[in-house]
Amino acid sequence: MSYQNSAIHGEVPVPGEALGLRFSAVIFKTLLSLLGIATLTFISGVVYAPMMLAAAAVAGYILAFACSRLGSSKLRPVIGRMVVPLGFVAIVALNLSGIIGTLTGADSVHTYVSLSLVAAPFYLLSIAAVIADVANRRLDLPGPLNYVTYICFPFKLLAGPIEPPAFIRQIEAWRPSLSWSRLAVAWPWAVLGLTMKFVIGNGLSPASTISATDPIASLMTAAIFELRFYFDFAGYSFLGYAGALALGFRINQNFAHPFFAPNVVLFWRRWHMSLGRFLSRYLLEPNVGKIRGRKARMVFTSGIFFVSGMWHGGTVNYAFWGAFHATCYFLWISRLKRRQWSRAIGIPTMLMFFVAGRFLAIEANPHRLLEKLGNLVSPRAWLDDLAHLASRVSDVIGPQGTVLAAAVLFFIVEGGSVSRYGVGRPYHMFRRPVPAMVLLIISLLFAGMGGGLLYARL
Amino acid sequence: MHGFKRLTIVALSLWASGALVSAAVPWDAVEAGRASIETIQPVGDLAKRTAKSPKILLVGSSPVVLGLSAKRIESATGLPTFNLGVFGALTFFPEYLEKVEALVQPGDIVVVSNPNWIHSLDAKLPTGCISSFRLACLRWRPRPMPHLIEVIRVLSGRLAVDPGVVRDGAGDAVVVRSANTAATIPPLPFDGSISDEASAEVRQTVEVLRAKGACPVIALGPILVDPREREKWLKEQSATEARIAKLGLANATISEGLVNTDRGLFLDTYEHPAASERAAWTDRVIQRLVSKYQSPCAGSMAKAVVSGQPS
Repeated sequence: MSYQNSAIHGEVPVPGEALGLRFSAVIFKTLLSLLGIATLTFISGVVYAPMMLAAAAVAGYILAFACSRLGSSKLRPVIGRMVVPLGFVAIVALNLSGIIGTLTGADSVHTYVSLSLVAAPFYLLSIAAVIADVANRRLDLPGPLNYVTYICFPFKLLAGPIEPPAFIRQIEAWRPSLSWSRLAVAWPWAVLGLTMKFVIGNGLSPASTISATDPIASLMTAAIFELRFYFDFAGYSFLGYAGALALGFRINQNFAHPFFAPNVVLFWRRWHMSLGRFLSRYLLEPNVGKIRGRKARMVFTSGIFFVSGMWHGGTVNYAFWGAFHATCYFLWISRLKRRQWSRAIGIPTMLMFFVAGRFLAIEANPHRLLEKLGNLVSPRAWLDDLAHLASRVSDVIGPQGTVLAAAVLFFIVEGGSVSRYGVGRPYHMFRRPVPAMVLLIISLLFAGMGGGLLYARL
Repeated sequence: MHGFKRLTIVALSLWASGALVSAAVPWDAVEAGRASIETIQPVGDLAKRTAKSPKILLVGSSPVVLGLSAKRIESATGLPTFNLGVFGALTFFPEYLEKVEALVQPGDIVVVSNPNWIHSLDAKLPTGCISSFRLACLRWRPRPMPHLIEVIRVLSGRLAVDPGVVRDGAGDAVVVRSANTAATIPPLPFDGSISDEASAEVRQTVEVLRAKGACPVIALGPILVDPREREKWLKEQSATEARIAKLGLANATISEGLVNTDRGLFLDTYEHPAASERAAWTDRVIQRLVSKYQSPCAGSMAKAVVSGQPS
């Protein structure tokens, strides 16, 4: 592979022509940590947000230290297996008590008790995972600076990819420098992220019709919300990925063409990949082997979606959301995957799957959710909607028409990229020199800042 | 030089120059100002064509667009009423006021809700920057993304008109698409050092309107505050009223119902009234205007009665 191609393709950054900049690792790890803390403080607007994070991180480090000194005690594997599930329980308890808002995409019926809890689930899981990995001897106790850098890593962007503690090894080995090759690989990812998040994602405002309960408006709102989540979350995940890449880190890409997945299992391997891997590594793998019976294991595997649902928000709609995805996953792995499905059935089914999941996830008001569900099965509501189809559609689309057209165009190019380069080289067509330059110009023209980070509950 | 290096340099240079242009010129404010003023052009033209005087002009920022009803005031007072409120008047209020001034005739009643009384005045552009840009309008506001479409819109004159609100001939909002239908909206954080600056600008406004022979009325729009800060806000309200009273506007200041803690009264932000509060605020303005003993514009109101218009 030529030097130029490797840079453009973005597969493996090769040692490039350095900019001649080499820096002290200790100073730069400290700066990275401070940047992460400053971001959290700035976003939450309260100084005790990083203080709470610091307290949790110190407690986590003490526990990890204690685990590293336990020798071959029987307690060690128990801690290794239980600490992350307990972390999930703590987060779910915070959600259920309404202390943390939900990921509905609009503010939930629960209000924030404090913005200091912004992205708390992401930080708490990282801390718990370090304890688990040290207890399971997958990781030596990291040095304090490397541990702090891992927890506060700014390119997580508060709620981006949840890196596993193995990432600490990258931090340990990191020698800060800037090189042209890394910048060349990073900027097309950054431009892709900017376009997705700030040009398309922020232009979608489905929250304005969330209170519509008629079937067509509520389904369309859910569909636009699904797009909003994809473009927003994938967009800033790629921005984080680009930033990390420019400095010499490889973090999770977090998304790889999820809407082109042919089934639910592959969808979850391509959507919020870091959380999926995290759940698999710390909830599924340590426990599934202890369950007897194939069916029971399938039920357990599917049930993790329920935990994930409650992690996203402790509200009725997330209970439904978890149950819905658990059911779909179970049906696929237990029965449906054995059959051959034509594209004529598969594509509409997957579209319905995307919309139905988001339909449940966005509506934190239980009464309105039940009303919407009732209307979905009411012939009268459908007839009324169909009689006013044009106005219903235009009410929901409103001023988002141009952005929706841009989203469709994006999917056409994305489809081309998948069929030409495969999922193994994600979003490759967007990262080619000419398309990347076009995206850059589009971003410079249309991308405005703001819009919050949906997964940080902002 | 390798191709990839050239490409990277071109990309980074494009971004840096775009960001530099955008950081120096407040295109967004110019565009918003021009677009906002364009939206009230038809209402302004109608007001100009209305030979009848006195008339009532509603002047201010988005709270006036969303929170006052010209039709309701017109039917209660009998005076032709026009809602000239514009979105985002905060940054160009003096210039906006100059445009409104051209419509004011002696005896007119001008209900002003100055947007700057709760906002920092730092955001304001120097007068004249909206209509013709000059070097004095440059300011340093670094932004990571330049949003250069604003440059093109301003230079081409094809401005983005806010699609969220449809207004009728009198300037009233008839369709409002709220971007935030959430159960919670953040209240206005308390900052107790604002009424001095606001009253200075109110004084200027009042002087301008009086010089035109019009009757100014100051209507402070309702705001959503944190219940824990309600008392502080009430004290601030009293301080503001006292300062405005010194301008001889004690009767002309409508500040009842200013401080609120009920989210249900608001549409999407702490200063955008929902439909119910719109009716309530409008009624408070009407009550003051038609009051036998408290009306600050009794002379103009009397003319309405004399000319046989209902009151």
